[in-house]
Amino acid sequence: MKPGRGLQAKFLTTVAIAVLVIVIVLAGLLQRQRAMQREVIVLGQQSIQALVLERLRVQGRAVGLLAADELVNPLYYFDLESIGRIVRGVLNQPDVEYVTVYDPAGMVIHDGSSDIASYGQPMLDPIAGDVVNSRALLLRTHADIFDVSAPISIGDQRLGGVRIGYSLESVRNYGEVANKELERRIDQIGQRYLFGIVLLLATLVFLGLAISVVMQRTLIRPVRRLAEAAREIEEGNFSAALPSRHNSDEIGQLVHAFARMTRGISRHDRDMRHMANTDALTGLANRRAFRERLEEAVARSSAAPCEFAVVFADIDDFKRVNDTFGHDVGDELLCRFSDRINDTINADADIDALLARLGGDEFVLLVRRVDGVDRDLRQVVSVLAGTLVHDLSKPLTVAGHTFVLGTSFGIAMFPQDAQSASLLMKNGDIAMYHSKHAGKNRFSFYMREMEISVERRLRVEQDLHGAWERGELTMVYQPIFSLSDARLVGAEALLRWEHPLHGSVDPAMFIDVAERSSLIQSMGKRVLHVACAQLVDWRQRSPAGAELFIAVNVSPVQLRDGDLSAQVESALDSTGLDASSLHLEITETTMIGDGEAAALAFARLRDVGVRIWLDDFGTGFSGLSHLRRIPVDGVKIDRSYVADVLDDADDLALVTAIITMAHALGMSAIAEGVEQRAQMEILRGLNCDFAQGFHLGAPIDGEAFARLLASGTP
Amino acid sequence: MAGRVAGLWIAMICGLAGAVEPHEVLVLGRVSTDPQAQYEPLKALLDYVVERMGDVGIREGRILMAGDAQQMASYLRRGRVDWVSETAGGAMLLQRRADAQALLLSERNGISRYHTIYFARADSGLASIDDLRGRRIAFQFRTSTSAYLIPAIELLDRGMTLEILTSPTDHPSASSVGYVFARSELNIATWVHKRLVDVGVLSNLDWADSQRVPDEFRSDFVILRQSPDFPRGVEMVREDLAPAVRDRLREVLLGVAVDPGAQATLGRFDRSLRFVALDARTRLELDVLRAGVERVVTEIE
Repeated sequence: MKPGRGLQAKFLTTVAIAVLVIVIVLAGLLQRQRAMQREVIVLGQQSIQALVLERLRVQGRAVGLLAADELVNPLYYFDLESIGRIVRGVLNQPDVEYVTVYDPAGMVIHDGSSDIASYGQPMLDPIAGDVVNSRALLLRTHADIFDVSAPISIGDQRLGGVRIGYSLESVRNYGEVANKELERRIDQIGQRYLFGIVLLLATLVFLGLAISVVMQRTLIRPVRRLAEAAREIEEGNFSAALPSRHNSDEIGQLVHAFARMTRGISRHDRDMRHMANTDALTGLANRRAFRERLEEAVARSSAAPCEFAVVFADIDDFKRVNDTFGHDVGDELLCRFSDRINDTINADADIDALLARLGGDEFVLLVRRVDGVDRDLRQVVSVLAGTLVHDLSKPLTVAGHTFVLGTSFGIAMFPQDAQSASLLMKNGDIAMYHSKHAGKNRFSFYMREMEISVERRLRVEQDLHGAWERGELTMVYQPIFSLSDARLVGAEALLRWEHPLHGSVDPAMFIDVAERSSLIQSMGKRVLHVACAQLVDWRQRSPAGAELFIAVNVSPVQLRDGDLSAQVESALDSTGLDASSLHLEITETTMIGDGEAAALAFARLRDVGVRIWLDDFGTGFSGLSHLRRIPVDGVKIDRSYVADVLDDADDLALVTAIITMAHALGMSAIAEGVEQRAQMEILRGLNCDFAQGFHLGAPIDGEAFARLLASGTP
Repeated sequence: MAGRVAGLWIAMICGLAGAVEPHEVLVLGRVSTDPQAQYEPLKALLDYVVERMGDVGIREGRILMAGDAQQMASYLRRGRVDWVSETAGGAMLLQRRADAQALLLSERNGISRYHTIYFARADSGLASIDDLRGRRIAFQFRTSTSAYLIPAIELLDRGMTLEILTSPTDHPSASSVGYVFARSELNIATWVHKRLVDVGVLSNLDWADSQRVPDEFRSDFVILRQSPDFPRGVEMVREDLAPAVRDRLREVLLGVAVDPGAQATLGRFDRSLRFVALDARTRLELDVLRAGVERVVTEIE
């Protein structure tokens, strides 16, 4: 908010406009009043002059008659002294310009002067003749003089007359003096008005300013403070100062409401922060909170150099627990896990560790030495990680089930391994995955080489794109024989990648990469199609192929994310292969991991006629219950059992048991990794149905297999 | 005895305030057309006098004014007035008509005598009052000593005939001197100046007064004659005033001149007033004047 366009500015603008309008209106009124005053003055002047003139007529008539009367006797006796006294008496009256007493011939007898200088002289003015001849009072005006003349007689004897001259200029002066007085008074009134108006305006301006000040104090300042407080609250400062108001007006209510709202927001913010920073299941810090703490630690290190370690922990194969025993058990197990980790780190007095759950079965620790401990941090963390591996692999009993779970740890050291929080997280993750790949249930310190392997995997992924098109991926087929009659009964389709630079790439490696990057979907579909087409081709080329089946490995990812049955049907349709000739090999893990969904998919495929084989049987967790739940047509005894079947009595017993069990359940058994004749003989003795391995035949391309088929012998 | 009856009557009226016998009251008279102006100075003089006349039985003073000499003469004859201040001419008229007796001369501003001045316009061609036949003269009024009685006496003494004119514009016969009464000294001066009349007469005191003879007029005038001096003011008493009272009054008035207290009392009105005893010369002058007045009254009026 710009203060310049605030309420106060608007209010002041309004007041200013109001004052301006009033000034204009008043100025108009004043102008009109002035014009009226001028008219009044002119009219006043005229009426005053008329009035004065009228008064003069009346007065002149009266004075003339009176003087004429008084002058009768003195004139009769020629009493010049008395005449002079009377004349002077009249002369002394205001505005009288002259008084002349004259004889019947019009000669001056007296003019009021002490020496009567004009005595005996004729009156020479233009109206003198009229005056002398008049027998009655005569009122005449000439040359700025109002002349009153009255004849003086005794009986019918004419004695003369008297003339009194009034100055019209004086009369006009009266008018002007009166006018000036009038103007002065009017001006005074005008000034009083003006003063009043100025006072009014000043009062108005003062009032406006006063209201503005009051507004400023009671409205604008609190509102601005509220706005500032809102801004601070927006930035997260809930202790922002609010305007202190104790009165109960609307602003006071607003302030109170605002304070309540602030407390509410503050509480919600706390709750949200808690929620945002806390893992709901374990009550540990979550990824976000950990990340913040880590960034803080990194930031602090720039001020005071320090050392710490980020330890990633991922429970091995935890997903299977959830899938098998449900999420409640899994969640409980996670809680117990976090308790165990806490117990372990609390037991080490030399470290200060923050434990957080990143999600799923992933945990992370921020480990620091306690102040004053000078042991090598790497060593400390190494000991801690070892203890954790040991403690966490102890059996745990949850809901009547006993679990033995391993945990893989990855450790990144600050500042040696990375200088930023995100890099530390990444490197800890890399180290953790390294532990996974290195056999799980162990810990690894981050090393640059690990990153290189990750980078290599990335490169592999990039190179894998378009490998089919470039002809780098090829299919090879390992023959499968029936042990009872040494007949070639089928082939396991295997994918090979001949990298133009790196040569032959380990299938486990690039399949893993493909699974992680979803390339497996398109690859799996293609493999299915090619394998089916290959079998059809063989059959067409040799009658020996009529009984042949083709075994294709199916990735758990294909089963989980793709529509496997649709892919299978599509491959069968497009190649015209009968469904019973297609064997899909799935790992035990796939079956466990995808539970019901997998069971449904396999049921549909079996309905079509496709055979389902369980690969690497005996390596996983699976109990026999899986075999009951998911209908399979056979089990593939893992090569590790086959390898030791000659030397290890236990493995022999297990292999025997598996074959017996499979037969008992109406399933077939197939042994893989048969590399020696003796192994083959034992398996044959155990009534194992099928076998494959280098002893029987290495994987070969389609053409070679066609020739092998044609020759009819291994 | 009519005066006595009247006095008794007045005393009876006044008796309401206290029993005062008529003979215990001293009445001062004055001929005046303006009683209001003259009352206070007269009262001051009268009170001063009465205060000093208790030993002759005077216990109270009164003032009685008359409009003209005839009325005053009547008062005197009837005993209504005991004492009158008058000009010399007026006094002679009272003596003639009421047998009033001259008691003392009064003196103002150190002047107890004055004379008449005859004047005319310098361009009138007149050189002497002997040339006045067929001409006009302005007097003041009939009781004026200096501006009527004295010049009238002198003109009569020169064998001239005085002919009254109806107005200043009237003309006398060639053998007579036409005269008019101008009422005031200023009128006299003005009439002469404006050639209404040929000669004017005034006392030397009025002649010198600018109020009466404006300076601009005087410079146009020429003096034709100055009469001999005659007494100015005379104190008269009625003929039958008790001698003790008369003598005591003379004594008191003569004392005014030497009494500093009197000057303080009277000074309010007439600082320079004093009274002088009648000497032989004065008595002679008064006798001459009385004879002249007698002649004027009989020959002119």
